[in-house]
Parts: sequence; structure tokens; C-alpha cells
Amino acid sequence: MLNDKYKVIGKKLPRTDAYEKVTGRAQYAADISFPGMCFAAQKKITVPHGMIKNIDISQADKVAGVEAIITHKDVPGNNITGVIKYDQPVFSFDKIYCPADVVALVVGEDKEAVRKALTLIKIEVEELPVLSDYTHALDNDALLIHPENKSNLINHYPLRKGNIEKGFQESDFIIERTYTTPAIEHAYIEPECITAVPDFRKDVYKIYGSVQNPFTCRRIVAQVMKVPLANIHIIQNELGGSFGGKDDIMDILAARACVACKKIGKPVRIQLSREESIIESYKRHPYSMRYKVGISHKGILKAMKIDILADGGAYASMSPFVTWRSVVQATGPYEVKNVHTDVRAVYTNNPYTGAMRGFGSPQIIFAQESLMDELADKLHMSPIEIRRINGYKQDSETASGQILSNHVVSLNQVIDKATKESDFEKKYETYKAKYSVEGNSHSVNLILNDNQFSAGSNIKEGIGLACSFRGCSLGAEGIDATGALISIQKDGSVYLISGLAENGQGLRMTFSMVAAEVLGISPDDIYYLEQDTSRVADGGPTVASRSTLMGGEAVKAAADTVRNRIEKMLIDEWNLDEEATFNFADHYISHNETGHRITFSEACNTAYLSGVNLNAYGWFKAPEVDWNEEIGQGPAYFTYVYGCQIAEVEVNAASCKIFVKRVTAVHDAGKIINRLGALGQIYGGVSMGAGYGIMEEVIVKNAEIQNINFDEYLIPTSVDVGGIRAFFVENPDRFGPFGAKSLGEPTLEITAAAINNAVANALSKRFYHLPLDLEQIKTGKTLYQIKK
Amino acid sequence: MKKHSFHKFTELRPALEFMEKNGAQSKIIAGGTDMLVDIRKGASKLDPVKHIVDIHDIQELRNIEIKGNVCRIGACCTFKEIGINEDVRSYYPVLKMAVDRIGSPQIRNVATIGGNICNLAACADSIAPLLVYDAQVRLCSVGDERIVPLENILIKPYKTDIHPDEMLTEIILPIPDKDWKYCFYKLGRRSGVSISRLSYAILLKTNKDKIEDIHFAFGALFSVPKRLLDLEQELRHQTISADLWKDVSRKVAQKIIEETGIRWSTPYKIPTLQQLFFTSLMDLT
Ligand SMILES: Cc1cc2nc3c(=O)[nH]c(=O)nc-3n(C[C@H](O)[C@H](O)[C@H](O)COP(=O)(O)OP(=O)(O)OC[C@H]3O[C@@H](n4cnc5c(N)ncnc54)[C@H](O)[C@@H]3O)c2cc1C
Repeated sequence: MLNDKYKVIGKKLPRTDAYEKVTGRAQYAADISFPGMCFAAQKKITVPHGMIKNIDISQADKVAGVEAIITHKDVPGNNITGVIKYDQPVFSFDKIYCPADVVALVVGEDKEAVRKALTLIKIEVEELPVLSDYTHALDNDALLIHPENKSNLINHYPLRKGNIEKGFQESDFIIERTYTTPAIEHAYIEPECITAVPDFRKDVYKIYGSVQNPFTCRRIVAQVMKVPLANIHIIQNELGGSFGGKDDIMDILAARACVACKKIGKPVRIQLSREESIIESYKRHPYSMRYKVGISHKGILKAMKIDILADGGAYASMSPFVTWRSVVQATGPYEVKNVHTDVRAVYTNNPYTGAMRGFGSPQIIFAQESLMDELADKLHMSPIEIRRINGYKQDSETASGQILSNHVVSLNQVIDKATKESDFEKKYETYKAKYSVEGNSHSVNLILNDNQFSAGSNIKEGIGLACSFRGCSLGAEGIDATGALISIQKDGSVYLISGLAENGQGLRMTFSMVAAEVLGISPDDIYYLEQDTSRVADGGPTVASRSTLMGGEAVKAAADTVRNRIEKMLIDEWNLDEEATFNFADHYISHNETGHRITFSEACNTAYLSGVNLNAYGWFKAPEVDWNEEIGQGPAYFTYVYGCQIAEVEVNAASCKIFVKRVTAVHDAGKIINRLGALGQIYGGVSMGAGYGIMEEVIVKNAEIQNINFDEYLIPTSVDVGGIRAFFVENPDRFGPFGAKSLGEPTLEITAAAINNAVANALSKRFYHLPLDLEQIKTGKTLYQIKK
Repeated sequence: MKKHSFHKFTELRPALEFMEKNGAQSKIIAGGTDMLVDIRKGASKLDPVKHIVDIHDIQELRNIEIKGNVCRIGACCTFKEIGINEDVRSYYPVLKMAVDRIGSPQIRNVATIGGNICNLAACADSIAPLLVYDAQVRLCSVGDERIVPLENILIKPYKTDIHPDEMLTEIILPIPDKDWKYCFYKLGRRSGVSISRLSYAILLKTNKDKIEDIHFAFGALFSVPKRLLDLEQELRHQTISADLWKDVSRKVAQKIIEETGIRWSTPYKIPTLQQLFFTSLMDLT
């Protein structure tokens, strides 16, 4: 697979931070400490919804060892914040919206004193009724969470294409199905930790922590502190996992710590326990999705009417962006002439929901891909055939009217590769024939009668396929640009930093490889700088699988700029033609025609001595995209990726336990930069997707989370997912660095749907609700143990 | 977090003496895999506790030995030590199967069999296998010692009949003959680090097409792990058939419902148990 064209790109290289991480040397947010540092504990109330009548801190304030009690009164600027809409209090003062709310901070050096004072804060609350069932949030008589909005609607995206009525009239079959998916937790290993440190300069603060998006964090803190952006320095520590989960939560914790820091003039740390983390952090949106689909005898999709409701919880957070991705991709990678989609996000008193790897796609893919298999079954077609008939091809038109022409539409390529590698068709037909006689109804009697026992093995095998298309980067969500800074020292060593942040995904290595390829050096020569908002320009958030594509291109631009300057210098030095081309490889720069050759470090030294600027900023602004909010039409994203995964499962028909035996994952992510990093994305994404499919669920009752640690919130362990076979189809993209696109989220979004189809293949019975846990499969219902 | 005084012992006698004086205000810690969870939670059962008595490194409690017609397993043997022991492997395969699947390697390296019994969760995985092997336990205090059948001390969830000055020192297992067919089944929500949703151990001795003897015990189905002696008795000398096994499975299910009533998990657990138990019995015969 190695392409001779490149020296570094496409290789399997261990990450720059691997050694420090596996040896425990890496410094995470909780590993660092500052002289005089105080700890802050957060006061929460166990009431999900209520009016605050009184906050009494007088007793707590008297506890020896407590430096200060911080409430909304101490906030210098905005006490109401949010990443898109301003609706979340930094410190609650008039109302409790959900159990994650924080009323006060107790701050002190002595943790025991802080804990004691926490119990002495008295808060009087008048309880309000609770809205926990989001499917009723838009009822006429629904309780209003933010009454000033006059409705619980956070946002509504319509998409209208063709004539939906006509489409159904032209259909031979119409099916209607409702799918639901649960809230899930990111489950990063490292719980949230942030420290705000005062500076000797007035109103300047340095904030250290496990922050996913330093620039968003800076904006929120500056607003809350009422100081200019430049006064807030966010310094990112090594991040122990994020998966989209260390955005808003970290911003608001940083703001609280900074308010306390201003008040006492000492460093203040907030560090959450796992329980606090699960209670307070945002989750993946639960979705309820109604799909009505019309299809012809020949298997041509004629019409899709889609109605989606998403539980936004108490605050808007990223709901407007998450659900926008859903409306763009709701039909899946299929051409449908008549589409009528409505996606709405609503407020409830539940834990708020926001960004999580996948970002509004795993839910709809679960629905679409389950639906495609069910349709195929109805028409006696294979799952591959129905997808081949309707799937996107070169120049296909999407539901939003975008013509897919500026990149290779590789849906068929990835499906072909995945089905071939897994021997899909043969296995699918074999299992289908073998198990089709099994009864379809769930048993209702507790004590089995004679013919309800089955002889022989309880194990049934199944295979299932799912595929997706995904818009890369932010799309029409907003401004999409990012930068990178390169600084080459006179000995040829290099500093590199970009506006996007390492989130554990391996960005530092990928960017180092891009720069190393351009300069003909090794990634080891590059020292990737600590992420600090004062070092580099705001490059937007590290989200939407955009780092390699956007940040990589910016890095490449920066490296190209210095390379050009070195080339210019060498043209003068060696008296070459203006058009001369050079070869940068293996730490040498050479001009083949004349045989001139110089080491990279010597060239840098010469450049330094002759005053050549070896520092550069690279900038990449994404090509134009557009969206018409009224009818949901427009070119939503400037490029797309395609993926197909095939899951093979063993289901124990008695216990209904699913073992994911093998997953074959094929992704076209454009040119692969770091093959090892890319494989890691697939292994991690598939495991995470399998957890979403078969076991993960944040159980919320009356707005309160029931499973607040990993003894009850289960994620897959290393023995719960069998083999993962990863393959890349590398169609180079015209925009990304060396043709690279996106991979992080595509790897996760399809797995649950593939597992659902595999389970249907094994049991001849279809399921419509995630997770496919033991009780769901056995009884067709969700059964919970609710804590008293 | 509450503060406790911590007392670590490496010999049994001084530990028992300490318990005699301070038993009512003390709590034993062995591997700590249940205790530390309780301490972190601030469990109310620890309210009266002032002293933590660490017995994990008392070597007298960490032996596994065969003497005469019994095998003695020290209360502080870890699941790792039990799982790799040759005698356990050859005489008590059901126990080996059970301990090998407890928690994770990290848990098995420290968690003890004594702790599993004394903590007495309904889902404690080592107890059902011990019950089918007719285990007895030795309980020691400074001046006294009693040896009782394991089931006698299993009162209710998290409550054993062990006196405040007593310590469980060993588990005594008669050496079974080699004619037993056996089975252990554990069902968890996931394959690694998983709490049992249900478990059972079966020993079966057949004579041609008849049952000569049968033992079975269940975990996570009754309030504490339990053997069904009456039903076992009823089955002796009966002729083996699929219908018999269906009947047995149903009877077990009925017993569970009688004792625990209908709970949130019943619609799942009861039908599941019957089919799994039936399959296991069929596989044995
Ligand atoms: C991650 C994790 C996974 C787990 N998985 C499983 C599993 O799969 N199956 C399972 O059954 N359990 C499991 N457990 C529970 C636990 O590991 C077991 O119950 C273990 O056997 C407890 O032993 P210990 O030595 O750690 O007990 P400790 O926590 O030290 O003690 C437990 C209790 O027993 C008492 N005690 C201990 N020894 C004696 C003694 N000799 N005499 C009198 N009292 C005593 C203590 O006072 C305490 O009340 C798991 C626990 C964790 C944390």
C-alpha cells in the first residue's frame, strides 16, 4: 500500500505523545499544581426543577479554612452563557432547570473544610413540576422550561424537496416505522479538571485544564469575567479523552473557577469526581424518529417523510448544530426525489445534550439503515441490491439538492470492498434461511410451556451491513477557517502549532507528518507546542472530524511558505533558474539537474544568517457552502466521505446476549496521513459504536440520572468486541492536505445500525430501539431498575 | 470522608485478639474490592465502624491444601490463587470456572473468596459452586471455633451469621469422586468485568439413564445464593429425559418467583433462566 511518492505520508507511525502517555509521564490537568492553590466544590440541589427562594451561605462562610463562597453575585460579567444560545446560568440564582445546575462554589485550601461548608449552604427551593418525557415537550399544555421563549422548541429545521404526496402515490409499498435512541455518556477516562490562575497583570487569567476547544472556552470565560479576549489565556493540558464531551462543560467550569480566582486572588481548581462528571456533563441527544417511506416494486425509493424529535435537555447547547447535521443526512446516502423532513430539538428538565462524536448522525443512521434492510426484506431483495439501486453515485443529487460532483462518490466502492472482505452475501443468505422459522412474538408467560423450550444450541449467528455518507467539517453551520504556525530554528528543528487542539485523536502527529513531508524531514524533528490561546489564532473548534482536513491544510500551507523561501534562497545561492524545482527528502535538499545538495539543517542555518524568515502562518478557509433555512436546500458541505461496516454477531437466543464477533470496516477518508492513527480511529470508533448498539444508555427518570458511575453505566471492555478488520479506500480529495478528508466520526456512526441488521438476520425479528440490551431483545421492551 | 484507624496484621492470633476487644466497632478488610467501594460511597453500614482490620497478608489464611478427605481453602486466598491451583482444577472444576470469570485480572489479583462470602451479595459468584460441593466454613474467635455448613451462615443479602469477634478462616470442601459431570454458567451484561445477572452451578451423577445424584445452586436469582435440596432429592433415581429437564427448569423458576415475588427483572430473568438451565442439563446428558 505504501506510495513511493511520499516519504512520510501514509506510514504507520506512533504518535509524538505515545511514550509519555504509556509511561505515565504525560501531565494531565490534575497532575499539575500551583502554589497556594485552592479547591472549589460545587453546590448542587437534588431538585430537577424549581424556583430558588433563598440562598443562605452565612453558616458555610464561618467554617474555618474556607476562603470564599462564590455565587452569581460575584460574577463580573454575563452570568448567563452558552455555546450558541445564551440560556445556561453559570451560577443558578432564580431557578433550577436540571440536576446539573450549580448554585455556589465553596473555595478553600483544605478539602475537608470545603466539604463541610458545602453541607452548610442552605438553599430554599419551591419545587416545580418536571418535564422529563421529551416526546411531550411540544404538547399544547406542556410545562415550559424557559417560559420567556413561550415554547419548548429550541430549533426546527424543515427540508422540502419534490412533492411528497405525489411520491407516495407513485409508491407500491409504504412503510412507517418509529425508532428511538437513548442518551449516552462520552465516558472519557479523565473526568473534568480546570485551574484558574491569577496573573500579576490586572484582570489577566491563565486557565489550565482538559479543554477540548480552547477558543470557545476563552470566549465564554471572557464574557463571564467581562474582560477582553486577550486577557484570558487558555492553556490546554494533555487531554484524557473527549469525544466531543469537553466543550460546554469545560467552558462553564472554567468560568466558575475564574470568578472564584478573581475573588480570592489565588489559583482555584475544580475537579469533578466520576459521579459529578456524569451528572453534570452533557450527553448524546436521545432521538425519536418517525420514518414513512414509499418504494416501487423495483426497489426505487419514491418518497421519504421524516419527523425527528431530539431531547435537548435543559439547555440549547449544541442542539441547533447537532440537529442540522441530522436534517442534511436524514435520508442516508440514497437518492430520493420527494423528501419532507422536519427535525426539532426541544427543552426538557433532563441532562442537557450537546456534542458527541457522530453529532446527530448515529441516530438517523440507525433508523435509515434498519429501514433499508427491512424494505429489502419486504421486496425480497438483498440488502446490497437495494443500496445499489438507490445509493449515491457520481453526480447524484442529495436531499438538499446538492450535486455530488467535486469529489469521488465512493459509496459503491466501500460497499463492494466490505461485502467481499466479509463474504457478506453468502453468510447473509445462509443465516436467513437457517433461522427464518423462529417465532416472531415475544413470550408473555413467565413459566414456559413444553413447546417454548428449544433444543440444541441457543447461539444464532447473524451478519448485517450499514453504510453512510457524511459531510466533512462544519458545513453551513458557520465560519470554517483555521490556521497553523510554523517556526524553523537555525539547526533545522521545528516548532509547530495549529489553531485546532489535540483531543487524544493524534492530531499532533498527523500535523507533524504533513509538515515533515513538505520539508523532507522527520516528524521527530518537530516539537509540537503546548496549546495556548495566546500563541496561535482562533481556528474554530476541534470538532466535526475537521482537524486533518482543515488544520492539515493550514499546516501544509505554512510549511509550503517556508519551503518556498528556502527554495528562493537556494536559487540565489546556487545560481539556478527561477523555475528550478527541488527535492526535499531524508533531511536533504537537492537540485537533481545540477547535483547541488545541502542538508536541511545547513540550509536553515544559511537562511538564518542571511536574514530569511523561516516562520510562517498557514491559513485555510473552507470553500463556500450554503443553506436555505426555510426549505432546507443548498450545498451543505464542501466535501463528503463514505463508509460501510459489516457486523457479524452471535446472539444467545435464550439470554439474548449479543456478542459482536467481527466488524469489517471500510472507509474512504481520502488519502490516509498516519495509517496507525487512522486504524486507531476505526478500532476505537467501532468499539464505541458497538457500545451504543448493545449496552450503553444513560437512564434518566424524572430528569435524574440513575447510573452515575461505570458500575452501572456499562461500556464495552476489550473482550466485548471481537475482531475488527479495517480497510481504507483512498480517493484523494481536492481540498485536504495530500488529498486527506475525515475519519473520526464516520467510524463510529454506522456500527450500531450494522449490529441491529445483524441481529435481525440472526433472530428473524427486527428491533427499533437502542440499546439492544438483554431485556430489549428478550421482551421487546426496555426494563429498568430505578433507584429509590 | 470519615476517618478510620487502620490495623494491619500478618498473623491470625493477634488479629483475633484485636477483634475480641474491638469487634463491634471493627470491620475486616481483605482484598478491599467491596469494602473500598462502600467506604467511598459512605455506606451507612460503616457508621459504627472505627477500626479497619486488614487481614489480607495473614499467610495462614492463604493456603490451599488437601489433607485426608478434605480440601481447605484459606479465606484470604485470592481468586487468582484459586484459579491457578492444581487441586482446585482437578477436584473443583466448577469453582475454577466461576472464579476465573470474576471481575477483571486486577480484581482477581486481590479479591478473596472469604470476602466474597462475607460480603454476601446475591450475585457473589463463588458461593453457588461452593454450595454444590457441600462446603463448610470455619469461623474462629480467640477462645472458640465452629465449623458449619456454608448455607447456614447465609442469612440475607449483605448479612451473614458471623459474630463480631469472629473471622472466617477457611472453607472446607470434601473431596468429591470423579464421576460428577459439571457445569457453571454465568450471564452478565457484558463479557468482561461483569456482575452476574444470573449464575448457576450443576453437579450431576448418572447411572445409565437415571439420575444417581444431582446438586445445583443458583446465584443472583434468590436473595442469596441458594441450593435447592428438596428438588435435588426429588430427582434422585428419576429417568433422564428432555421432559424431566423442562420440568426441573420450571420448578426452579417457580421457586424463585415464590421467594422473590415479581420484580422489575422477572419478565426477563425467569424465562431466560428456564431455557438456559434446560440447555445446560441437556448438554450434560
Ligand atoms: C470491578 C469489580 C468487579 C467485581 N466483579 C465481581 C464478580 O464478577 N463476581 C463477584 O462475585 N464479585 C465481584 N466483585 C465483588 C468483589 O470483588 C468480591 O465480592 C470479592 O470476593 C470481595 O473480596 P475482598 O477480599 O475484596 O473483600 P473485602 O472488600 O475486603 O471484604 C468484603 C466483606 O467481607 C468481610 N470479610 C472479608 N474477609 C473476611 C473474613 N475472612 N472474615 C470475616 N469477614 C470478612 C469484610 O468485612 C467486608 O464486609 C467485583 C468488585 C469490583 C470492584
